[in-house]
Amino acid sequence: MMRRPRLNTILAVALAGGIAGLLLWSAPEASRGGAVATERVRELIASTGASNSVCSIVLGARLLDTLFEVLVFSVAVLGVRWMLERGGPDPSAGEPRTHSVLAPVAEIAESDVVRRSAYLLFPPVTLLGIYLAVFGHLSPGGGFGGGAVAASGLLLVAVAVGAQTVARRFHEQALARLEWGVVAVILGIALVSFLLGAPKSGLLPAGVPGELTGGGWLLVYNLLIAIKVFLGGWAIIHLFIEHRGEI
Amino acid sequence: MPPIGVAVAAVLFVIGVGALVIRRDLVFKLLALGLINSSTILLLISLDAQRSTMAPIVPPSVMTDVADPLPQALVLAAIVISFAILALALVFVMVLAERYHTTDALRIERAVARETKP
Repeated sequence: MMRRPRLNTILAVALAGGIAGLLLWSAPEASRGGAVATERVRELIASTGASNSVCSIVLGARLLDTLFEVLVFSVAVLGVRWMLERGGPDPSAGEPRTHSVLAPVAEIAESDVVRRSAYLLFPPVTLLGIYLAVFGHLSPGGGFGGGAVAASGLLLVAVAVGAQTVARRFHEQALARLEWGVVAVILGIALVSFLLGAPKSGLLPAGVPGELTGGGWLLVYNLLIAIKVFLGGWAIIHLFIEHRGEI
Repeated sequence: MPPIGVAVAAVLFVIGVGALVIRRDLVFKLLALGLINSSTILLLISLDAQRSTMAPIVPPSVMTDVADPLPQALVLAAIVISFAILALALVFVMVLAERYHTTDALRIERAVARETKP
């Protein structure tokens, strides 16, 4: 027998439909590409020296927004770490950890082909991540993308040889400290830049626009954000793999 | 006439909100949240797709008619925040499932009500 939908369900879906209709109606007016956008992009490139105008916005005009984005990411990683390591039933209150809802996930079978492929692919994937971060202000890419690509490379190795094997090569505490150290450095540089009056301050010598060092602080920001995202991404991946099958 | 990407985004948004409200399973609710987020991203990047514009990552010498870079910058933020929130929400679901042995939101609500009843 089919249940009758409740009133709040109907209202929610109707509201969503209304919002979607509004989007469809207003979308043609919302586009601001063309001459206005071209002029704005020219100004951005002239002021930051970066060919990637998206990067100029993210790390220039909207730097404050990006800093809070990095903070939200860091707090989420901290929350995942805290909840998975200490969350769940409280053993002191007589609530033992259980393994009853889902069967534990079986270990991935050791495969020579997978292991060798992972070791073969890891260096180029990591190199691509570094490239995306370093040239992020000149071409498509950036710190977030570069860090995510490098973390995926490590995930590939973790899937092939086991997360524990990979984790043994790292000092988890040192990685966590490094992660928060990078956040502190990013915030410190941004604070100094803001105090000096502009996100792109004269702390680094301005280069030729379009060249690798032409973006000033954008290169440094991208590299630091890439390290942060790489470490945070690895922490989340590692924790989820380590705690799989515990629920 | 709105571009096809905007129309698809609107449909995905309605499906996501519907699934978020109707489905009782917390994992499905998370998937619905992901769908809503994806629809938002699709909407932002589709806004300029109706014009034959260039990507805003070009040297000024060859720049003629570029897309607005602001929606693309917003998409970058949306992806990172979505990843962070999804990871955190998944952990909350894991903890709830570990404690109450179910991912059904209604059963969890009832179990919590039983626990808190004096």
